[in-house]
Amino acid sequence: MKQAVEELRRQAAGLLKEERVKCVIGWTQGTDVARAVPFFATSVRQAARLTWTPFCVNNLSKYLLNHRYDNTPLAVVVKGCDSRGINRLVQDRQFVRERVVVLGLPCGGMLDREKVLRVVDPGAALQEVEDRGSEYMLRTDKGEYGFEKREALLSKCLECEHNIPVVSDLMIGPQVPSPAGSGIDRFAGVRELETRDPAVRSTFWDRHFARCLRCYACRNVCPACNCKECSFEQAVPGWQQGACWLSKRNHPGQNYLFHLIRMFHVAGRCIDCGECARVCPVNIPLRELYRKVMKDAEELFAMKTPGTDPEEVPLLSTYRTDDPEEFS
Amino acid sequence: MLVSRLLEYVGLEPGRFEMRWISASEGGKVAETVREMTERIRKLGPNRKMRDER
Amino acid sequence: MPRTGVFVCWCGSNIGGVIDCPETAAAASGFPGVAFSTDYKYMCSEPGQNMVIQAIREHRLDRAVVASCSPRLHEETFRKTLVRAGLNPYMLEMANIREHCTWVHGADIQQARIKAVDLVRRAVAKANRLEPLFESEISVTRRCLVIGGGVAGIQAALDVADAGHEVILVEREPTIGGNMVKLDKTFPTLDCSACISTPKMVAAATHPNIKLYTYAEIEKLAGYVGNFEVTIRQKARYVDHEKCTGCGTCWEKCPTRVPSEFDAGIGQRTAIYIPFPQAVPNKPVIDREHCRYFATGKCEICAKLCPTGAVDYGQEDLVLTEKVGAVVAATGFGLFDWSRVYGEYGYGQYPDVVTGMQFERLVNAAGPTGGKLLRPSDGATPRTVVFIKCVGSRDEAKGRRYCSRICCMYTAKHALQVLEKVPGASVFVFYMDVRTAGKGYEEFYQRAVNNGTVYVRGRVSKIYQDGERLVVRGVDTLLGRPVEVDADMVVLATAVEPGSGAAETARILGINTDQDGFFQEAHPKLRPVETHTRGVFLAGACQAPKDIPDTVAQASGAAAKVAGLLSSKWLSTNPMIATVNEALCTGCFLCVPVCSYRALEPKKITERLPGHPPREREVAGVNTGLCQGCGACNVACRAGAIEVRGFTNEQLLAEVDALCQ
Ligand SMILES: Cc1cc2nc3c(=O)[nH]c(=O)nc-3n(C[C@H](O)[C@H](O)[C@H](O)COP(=O)(O)OP(=O)(O)OC[C@H]3O[C@@H](n4cnc5c(N)ncnc54)[C@H](O)[C@@H]3O)c2cc1C
Ligand code: SF4
Ligand code: SF4
Repeated sequence: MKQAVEELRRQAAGLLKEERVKCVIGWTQGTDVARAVPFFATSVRQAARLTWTPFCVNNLSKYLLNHRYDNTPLAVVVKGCDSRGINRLVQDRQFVRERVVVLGLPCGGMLDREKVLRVVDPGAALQEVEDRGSEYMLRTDKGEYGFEKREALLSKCLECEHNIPVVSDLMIGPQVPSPAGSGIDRFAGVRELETRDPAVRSTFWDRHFARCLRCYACRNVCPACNCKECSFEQAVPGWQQGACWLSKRNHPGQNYLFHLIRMFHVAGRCIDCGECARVCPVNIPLRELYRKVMKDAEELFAMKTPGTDPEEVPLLSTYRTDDPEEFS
Repeated sequence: MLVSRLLEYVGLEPGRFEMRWISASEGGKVAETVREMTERIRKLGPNRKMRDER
Repeated sequence: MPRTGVFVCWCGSNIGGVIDCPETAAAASGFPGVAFSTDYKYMCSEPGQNMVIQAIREHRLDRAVVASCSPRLHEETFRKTLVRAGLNPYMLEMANIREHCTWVHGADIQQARIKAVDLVRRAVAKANRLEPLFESEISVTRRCLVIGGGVAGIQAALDVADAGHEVILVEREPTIGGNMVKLDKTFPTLDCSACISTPKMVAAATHPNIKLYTYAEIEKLAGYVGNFEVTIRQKARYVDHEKCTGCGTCWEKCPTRVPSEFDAGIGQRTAIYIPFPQAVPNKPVIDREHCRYFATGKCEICAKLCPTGAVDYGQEDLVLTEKVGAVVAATGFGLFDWSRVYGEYGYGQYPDVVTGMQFERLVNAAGPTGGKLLRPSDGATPRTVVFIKCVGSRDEAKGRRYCSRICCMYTAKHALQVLEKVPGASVFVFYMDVRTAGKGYEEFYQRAVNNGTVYVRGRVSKIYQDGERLVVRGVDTLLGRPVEVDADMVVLATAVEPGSGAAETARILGINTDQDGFFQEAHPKLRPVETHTRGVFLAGACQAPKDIPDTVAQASGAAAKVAGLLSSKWLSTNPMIATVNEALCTGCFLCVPVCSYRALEPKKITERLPGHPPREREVAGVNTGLCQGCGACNVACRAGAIEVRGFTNEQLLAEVDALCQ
């Protein structure tokens, strides 16, 4: 990945130097060996700190929203899955496509930080990463470590649909093979849950939702959540007892409603980047919730994963006369 | 269709949610549907899941 | 704190006979916000209304709930009552305890009583959250566009013009008149169609308030009620109508012959032509597709002969716009193409199997045969004529499921015409039913029967040519036996269809079509000439198959509606329409395609937020002239930025909560 890192820095520096953009949104090495954090490079010097490792999990497209109403020209670095977020924002008219330079990185998959830290000392300094196709080699000052992709990748990467960005102005680094396992069922998790007994399913979600802290991290990280003021925070004057139309109280019944409503707001628009599940501090398997709708929509209405195609209209905002229906 | 599937997925009993297409001139059908639905819900009992506890 | 008044109406015994109204009123007095409640026998009556007004004044009420019949009936009444009492008319909420309660639950009085109280509680909950709404006014362009110059369009145009408003009449053919001027005589009076329609055509063309565009089509309709802008394409005629005197030299000398559309294909016309001698305007157009000059670059006979030099091969289509306040669609009907599907009738291969419209031209004094009934194949006088009804009508498998309404009558007319023109002729009519609902219609049909027409109930299963004759084979289902007729000519009563291009016209006008493709009226009974798009009205066969009397009646109805609309320079708009909370709107415009009235459009705003420089961005804007307050956009907006006034989320949820108590 060395080559890609160098090219990324060079291109970023070039864009900043020529003042084509004011800021390049990318990642830089974080506080430990298995962490990369979002980084906003605004000068040529800062561009040299950009990096590209199998720990660059954050979907940076969301950060574009910070600039949705000013005219700052920006560049943003995206992986395949994140690139769908660009299409999401453009379709939602939150961002004019021309205003952003999209730097696309072909991606061999993201490593599961937990699994890496089980083997590697967090304090080690990451020197170089090599993508060998079926495994990653991490070279650190404390030694070399090999990670078999099949074992150590994030589960979403093993189900990867687009490892090459679907939209980009500049592709950086060599093409790499998709980390998706062959013959993998993208919706295996959903299907598994579907087959369970309704009562089991019910307690499954009861238990998860009961733990929800209502911290809204899932919403904050989501590129499909781009309302100006979230409906869960809109104060309605003179409203019943609570100030919002769904109380903010942390209560299982309310949490249920919160998650289902959010679910419906992103239905047909969720790009399946998996960020919600990653940021959830109590590990609610949110992806399995959103992907249920995605799976049904794919089966019933032949919907592509949202964000794949910049021209498509969100599923719930359109219709075809030959749509299937279940009305009697 | 998506709604009913989803609600069942998160553990609601099948039949608690239903969508019907009834035109304004189909009074009989409205009454019939409501009657059926009421019966069904009565059998299922109250919904303990999504109570609004404000 | 709101001060709500609750007024429970007995509606005589309609409500009072089932539930105990004083009891309901007493229950209501305990609901939050209710400052006064009472009941009365007839709330809508003069004393009833006065009671409401007095209560509002005495108890300083600021809003009212009337528990009575459907708001469809008396919402307007009570809004006016509120105005008389000095309140905003929209501070009224009605609880329908008649249609929704006592009428349907009369058998279960106990439950009805509970339900009535629930309904009132719901209405009170909403009333407590009502806000005054104000109508706004939009200006009205006092001109009317009429699309289609058939009898419907002509009648509507004349009526609106006589009411003193300017009319733009657009007809896509070279002449106005539509289908009616092609007819020979008209049932049930058998008066000559041309004699009653051509004077109307001339009247329309010469009326000082009517601006006529023939050979023109509408391309776009923008705007909204009172303020439409229509784009009209005037097709190139290749003849300068300013110079042309209509002398006729050109069309007499033109060497090209093509089947005449006006004669339903059985006569011929030239390439430079007027559709028929009494055409309005009486000046020709060149049919570019068939003109020899346009095909080969040689000929120019017409140009050379024209005494005024009016022929202009270089003319181009002209696109122009007109501003109007109302639109009448009167685009008429088309006829079912039977030859595609009726193999048993020969797929149109036998020249002597003709349609009703062709028959009209055959017996028309101005038609290709000069009014002599001669069959197309050899010009002989047919002595045995068979009529087949419902060709493509009432037959979902082959054509249309509906009844075309006019065929029974014109077939009876045709039968009479054969008997009159060919003494001693035999006439057979194969039919499914004979439908003669109309003034003088049954008598007319009886006349056809009495004059010797043989009505055979049953379907024709096959027609085949046998030498000079056509053998018509069918079954007489009344006698239960097969019949075979040796005919000289067969006339098919083909189904009435939506006119060609009807779907496109509907799209341009933003109106709906029904399941058969005809234009959809706003209400089948109560609003038959209106559409769901305010300011667009319907007249004639474009709305459903119709005969001339009905067409003319509907056209005058539409004209009355237009005249009403244009009677004032200002139009008040319904305030219960969508409104966008611009702070919340993200400008995703998912709501825009959802609105069937095209009421939403992007608009630029400058937003000033503390700590930020003012910034420009796009949000959704509601056109108050177009929005009908249907609420579709409300649901599409994930950000919760659109609400319909008078049906806000707050109000609706309060109602639900009140009902679920
Ligand atoms: C064979 C036959 C016999 C009949 N006999 C009788 C009878 O005896 N008595 C009776 O009462 N009724 C009779 N009718 C019915 C009668 O013809 C209709 O009721 C009448 O013509 C309807 O008038 P209209 O103006 O609605 O439609 P049309 O006559 O069809 O006129 C519509 C006009 O609109 C024009 N137009 C269409 N689309 C556009 C467009 N997009 N832009 C501009 N212009 C457009 C057309 O060119 C046409 O001129 C008969 C019908 C048929 C077929
Ligand atoms: S749907 Fe809502 S947020 Fe989107 S443009 Fe319309 S009003 Fe604005
Ligand atoms: S309420 Fe209906 S008509 Fe009005 S803007 Fe919304 S969708 Fe259009």
